Amino acid sequence: MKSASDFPTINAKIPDGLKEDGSKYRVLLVDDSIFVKKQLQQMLLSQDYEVVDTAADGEEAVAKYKQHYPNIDLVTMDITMPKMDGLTALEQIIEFDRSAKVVMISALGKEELVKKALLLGARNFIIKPLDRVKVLERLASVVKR
Amino acid sequence: MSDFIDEELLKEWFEEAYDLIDKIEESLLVLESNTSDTEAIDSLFRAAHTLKGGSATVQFLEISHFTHTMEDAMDEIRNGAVQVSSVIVDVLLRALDIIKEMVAARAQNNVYSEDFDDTLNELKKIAEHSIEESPKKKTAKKVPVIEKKEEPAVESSVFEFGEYDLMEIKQSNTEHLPIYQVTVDFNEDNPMRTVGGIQVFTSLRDAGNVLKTVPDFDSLYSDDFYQTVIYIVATSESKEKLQQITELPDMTKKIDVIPFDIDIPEQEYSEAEITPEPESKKADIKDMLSMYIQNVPEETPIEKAKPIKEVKHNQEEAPKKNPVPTAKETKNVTSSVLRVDSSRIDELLNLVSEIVINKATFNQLAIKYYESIEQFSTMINAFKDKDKHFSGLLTHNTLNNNIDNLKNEYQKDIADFTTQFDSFLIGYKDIVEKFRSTSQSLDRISSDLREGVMRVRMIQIKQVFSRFPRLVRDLSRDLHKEIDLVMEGEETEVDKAMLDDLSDPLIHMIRNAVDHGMETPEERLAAGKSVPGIVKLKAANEGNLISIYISDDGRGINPESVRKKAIERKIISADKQLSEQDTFALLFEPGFSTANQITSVSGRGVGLDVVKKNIEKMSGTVRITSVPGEGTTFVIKLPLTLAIIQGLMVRVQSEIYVLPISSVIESIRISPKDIKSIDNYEVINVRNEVLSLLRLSRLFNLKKSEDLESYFVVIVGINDKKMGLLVDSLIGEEDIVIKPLKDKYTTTPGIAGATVLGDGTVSLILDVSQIVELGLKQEQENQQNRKNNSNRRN
Repeated sequence: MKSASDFPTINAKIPDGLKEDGSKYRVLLVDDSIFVKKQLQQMLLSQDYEVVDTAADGEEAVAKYKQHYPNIDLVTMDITMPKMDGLTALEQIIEFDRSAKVVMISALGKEELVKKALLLGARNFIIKPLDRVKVLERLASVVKR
Repeated sequence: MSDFIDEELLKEWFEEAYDLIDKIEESLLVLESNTSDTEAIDSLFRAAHTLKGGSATVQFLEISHFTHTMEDAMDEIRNGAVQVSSVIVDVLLRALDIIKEMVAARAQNNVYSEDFDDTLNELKKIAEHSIEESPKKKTAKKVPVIEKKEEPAVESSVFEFGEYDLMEIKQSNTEHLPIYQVTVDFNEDNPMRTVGGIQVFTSLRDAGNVLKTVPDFDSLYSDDFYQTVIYIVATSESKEKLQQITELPDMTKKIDVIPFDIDIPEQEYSEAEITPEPESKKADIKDMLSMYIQNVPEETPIEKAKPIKEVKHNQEEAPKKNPVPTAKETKNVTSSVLRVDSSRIDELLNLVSEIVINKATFNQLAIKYYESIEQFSTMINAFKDKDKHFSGLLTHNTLNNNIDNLKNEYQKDIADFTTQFDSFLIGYKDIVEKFRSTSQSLDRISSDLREGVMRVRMIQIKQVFSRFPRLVRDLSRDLHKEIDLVMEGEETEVDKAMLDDLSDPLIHMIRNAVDHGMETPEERLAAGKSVPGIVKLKAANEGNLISIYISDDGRGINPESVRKKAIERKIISADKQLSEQDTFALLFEPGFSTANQITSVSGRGVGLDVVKKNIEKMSGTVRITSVPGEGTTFVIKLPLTLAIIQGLMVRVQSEIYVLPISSVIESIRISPKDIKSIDNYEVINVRNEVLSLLRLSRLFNLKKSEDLESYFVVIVGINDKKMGLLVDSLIGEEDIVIKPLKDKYTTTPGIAGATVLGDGTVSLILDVSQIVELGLKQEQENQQNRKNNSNRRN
């Protein structure tokens, strides 16, 4: 006999943004697209993450990271952005904080840049268009590891 | 050994693999008829061993794993622990089929993906002596089982690194951390799947040192997707932790983490050393070492002292690389490789050096010709001067007084000129003579060269024939028939290009012989014939042609039943009179089948027409002779080569076409009034034989030109069909080098290829068999159109 709890609900699949002590994981969103930022923000807030700040280009991202350090648990970083691209920003953030957890946001077809980013120290990547479940799974796998 | 595998090496590997597969098959068939043939058993083992080693070198892991298991099984057979039985031969043949498909898949840049666990388990059973009905099951000779302590699932996925790789791994593990082999299966459905290899790499890098990956890092970084990647990681993390950090949602499918201990094989080895038959033990390190040795002929210093002895032993056993110096029929990646006897290349080199000398002679002659012209123009100038001089004298009044002087002077000068001219002529004749002989020798050299190059392309037909014993064996087993295959003339040489295309038609005809031609043993006994029946495959050089005979001593073909069927199928009309030969030719018509029942072997009557088409594509012919009750013979006749043909060049208006001389019967000159029209066909009468006539100008839609007083008709024939081709004039015979046409033109019917003529113009080579077909059709249509038009006008 199967009880109701044997059947996972949709929400049960998606990990939340809470630490073991119950506080929220703090995220810095970096993307030049307002739409993507908003979309990501909604996803994160729905799972109890805290969005500390947002940035629209690489330079701003590095500055904001330093400004909030060490109160940032995760950075989502777009690859193609004006002024300074995501890879350079990633490099500078890692240089500043070796344990920084950065997840790249990439469009399809940019495999090479993603590989570069991973080798530079990015923890994972998510693909645009953003799939809610996959994004949250990946982000959780990074912060909770 | 570097991770980089260059194409040359791959080609070599494919060559060798096909060779070894053939060898395994051959030995297995020998073994089937004589289960205690130790030579066959040894050769089997060696071939499997070499194949395994080679596959690991080129990193075709699935092949090396599979052949490894096969080798294990064969090893047990070789040391006498397992007695060969037909069951075992069957398993081995099945395993061989899988290897064939694995190799074929690799040749297509794929990886074999079918499930082969059943066969693998059966092989393992042989190795473990647990396959049923082996009489000497547990003999005293049985080797103590000290092998694999790991569970089989893990064992099968241990990747065998070469000795160098092992050393490299060992040395790069500077912190002496535990080493794991992480084997990751990636999800091919992930849109960013090519990133996976690197992503796992970075995760593992965070957890420890990635010492090595297969494929190598550069490959992972490239745009290619690798389904399975092996990471060798030195880490202080636990196996479970590694498993966990490797796992990436929807990127990784299956992860296998196993301890990778370089020293374990060594321990196994020393245990094996104590056993009475150490060479039969397959301690992993030994395999790795011997594999390495096989691929690097020079013996390299090896870390451990003990294994060297063993290695030497194995080296002796290992067959020399490329043991057969003949070229091999291959596919895809390998198709461009041709193995040539070096003496043939030497011959060519000789000829080339002769050409160089020849060229030097021509250069000298050119200088001499130039000098001659200089000399000649000097003489002419002198002559002109004299002419002026004498004309001047003649117009002056002094003529009367000095007539005698003038006469003398004139005679002297003329005599001078005559001597000069004579000596010039002698010198010039010399030069011309020299030119002629040099050009003659060039002619000889170039024809020798042509023959030499042709011979380079020649390959023994054995390479196609060699697969037929297996085919006949399998077929006769499936159909419950008893058949001996006899092969003759396997050393007959065939153009490589043809060899590749010959295989399918031959397979089809052999299937036919076995399926339709041959009776069951009961039928044969009832008919007073011997059992087993005989299928004979014979190749022979006959003049300028190669003949291949496929004959069986089976039930033969009844011409009457062929005829009936043809009428039934509306291939011929009921009142059509046909010779026996023409009746058998009906079998090659599309959609014809004489077998009453459709069997899985010979198909459904599709095929013989395709066979015929394929053979005609090679400018060959095929015919059948058969005597009911006694058997059937297919005869294929092929030209020696496809690259160069003897061609008859003909002119049609401004175009020059080439007709292969092999299909030309004769040529005659006619005048337009000789062309008669019968039943809407244009025909001519040649020695009381009426031949339909086809105007090439009409066939190729050339513009109409003025009518000529006379035309030439080239009479061509293919498979007993004759036809006259109307051309404007004949140019002559010539050796024609066939250049294939680009794909989009090859579909143009009636054209077999192109050639470049002496003056650089391109001329089309006609496909006579197609033209004969096409011509009849088009003539009919055209005449129908003309008739319709004229009807309309009326």
